[in-house]
Amino acid sequence: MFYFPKERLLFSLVLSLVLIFLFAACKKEVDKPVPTSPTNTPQEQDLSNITYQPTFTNIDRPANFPIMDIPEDNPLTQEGIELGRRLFFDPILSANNEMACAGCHFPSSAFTDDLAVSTGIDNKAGTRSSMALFNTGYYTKGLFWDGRIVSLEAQALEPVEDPLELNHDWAAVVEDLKTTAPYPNLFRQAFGIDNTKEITKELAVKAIAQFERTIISADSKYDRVVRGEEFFEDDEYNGWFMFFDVGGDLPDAECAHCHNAPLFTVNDYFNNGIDSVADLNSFKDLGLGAVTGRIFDNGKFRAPTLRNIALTAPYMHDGRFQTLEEVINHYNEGVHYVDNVDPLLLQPNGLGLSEQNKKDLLAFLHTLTDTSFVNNPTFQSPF
Amino acid sequence: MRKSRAIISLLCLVILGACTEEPQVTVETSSLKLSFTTNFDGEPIVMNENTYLYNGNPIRFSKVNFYLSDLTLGGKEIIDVTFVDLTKTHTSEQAAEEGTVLNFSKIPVGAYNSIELGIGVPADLNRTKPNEYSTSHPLGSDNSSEYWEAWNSYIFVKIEGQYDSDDNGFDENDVAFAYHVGQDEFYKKLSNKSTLELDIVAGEPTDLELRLDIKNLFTTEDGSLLELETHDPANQMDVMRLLMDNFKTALAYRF
Repeated sequence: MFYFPKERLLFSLVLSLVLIFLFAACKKEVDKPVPTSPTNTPQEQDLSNITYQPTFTNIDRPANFPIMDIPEDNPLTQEGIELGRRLFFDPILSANNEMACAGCHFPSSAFTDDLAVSTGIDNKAGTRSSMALFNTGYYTKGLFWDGRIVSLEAQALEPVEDPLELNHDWAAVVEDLKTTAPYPNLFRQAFGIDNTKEITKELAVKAIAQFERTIISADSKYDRVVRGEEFFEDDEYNGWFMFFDVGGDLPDAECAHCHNAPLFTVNDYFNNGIDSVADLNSFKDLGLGAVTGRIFDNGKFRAPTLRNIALTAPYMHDGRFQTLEEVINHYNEGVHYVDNVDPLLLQPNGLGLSEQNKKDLLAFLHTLTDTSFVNNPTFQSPF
Repeated sequence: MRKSRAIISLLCLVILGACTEEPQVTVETSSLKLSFTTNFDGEPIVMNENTYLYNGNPIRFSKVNFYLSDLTLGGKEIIDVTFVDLTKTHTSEQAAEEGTVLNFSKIPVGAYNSIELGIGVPADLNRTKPNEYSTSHPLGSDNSSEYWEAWNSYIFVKIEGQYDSDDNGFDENDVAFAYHVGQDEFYKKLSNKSTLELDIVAGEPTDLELRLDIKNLFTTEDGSLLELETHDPANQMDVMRLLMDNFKTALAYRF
């Protein structure tokens, strides 16, 4: 029989624990990515041994949609789109690592956030309502409510550093992307970079823009009717009549001037008379005027798309209207005069829509909802 | 021996001849700056800001645009279709003088004695829709506000503004007019097939300005000015006809 003194037993136990701990620590080290070159640091990792075979792709153009202009320096690839989707849903872009682009653009709400004005990290309230992010690849006349940015690539730069949104800085984001798997590999596969040091904010926003260009909504009931696959109900048909002023005895609701098909936006900026102000200098939010510096642009905002409008409440740039009924009532009888209100809204007696007309118009607006787009798995979070 | 020399010389001549390239016919070209401006009775229009007198009362304009098609000089096509958006360029006195400018770099040098153009979109193109073009094409979805579904037509001309009919300052009681013209029957072809004297000279850029006078556009047959009305699509046909007919006197060119 062997005999172990108590002290020796204790020593053996402690020694074993230490060895187990050290072994475990060594095992963890083995699991870390191994630099492919002895001279590499994590910030400068050679990626050239990873296959770069981008799969170029095109937008599946809906039958009644225009041809999208794709920038020559940012062609669509499956790899770029996938990287963009990951970045879009990854909170790595925010200062506290808790909020992603998708934090204000939920797929289930047609890429808006159901709030009057959006909330950034640390619950900081913004000043405007989150805009729907589908069909934006067709927008070439400025983005944001005030049109201050021309391209999707340039747009994606802004929220990361906006103190009321993700409140981060791109230099730090890029450092994180260089050292966080699987981003180095994904950047290599999307853009053919040879080393992690070539990861830049410009490539990151190119990927996000590629993903955004694929977010297309074109399968609403309206689209199916246009394609001859379905019929409107009577109330929807009446609403369509008034929306496009097709004639007949129904009044002109004047909608299509700013929300024409097929995108249901004309990509332009208007003062739609929602503010009761003394003069053009009195707007709380100058909108386009703050960008152009022209007083007659004050109070003008982008006419948003009305596709999926039933999913994107509340309405207007500041979310002041909770329901579509309120919006219709505004245009019918609540337009406030100021010098630059669109003349088509300045009817002496309003639009003259009856209660039934308003219900019919609402029924038509509901035909613009595209549930297949909202549930499309390729637009959901990859996490 | 002499015979051999002659054959060799002949062969050399044939080979040399074959090596000589066909002389290329080069057409000498020069540049043309085509500008579009709009004015009211000769005064350049500054959108929204400047007012003009219309039957003695102030009028101002917030939008003037039109499609221009099939512009030819001396039978040579310069433009098939373009959207002339004077709203975006007539934002100050200086900008209004400059107008909307299109530059062409390769216009054949020579004397041109005819000009033809169309106001609106010709029938073959008017059968198309914005979704058939790239977004940035003049007929594409960037200009989808210039297509009217109910007409199955592009909107050839838009003129919008406000008329201070009671001359007490612009307010909600004034006439907010919005004249939109479209449909094939209103497409207007204009031409001067003989009296144009435009010389495009090598090395000398040429300026050609097309000037639209809105007062002439709004002048009725009896010389009075059109009675302005708030937008009413039901009553537009006669006004559409008047405006398009008036283009022949309202649009002038100078160079």
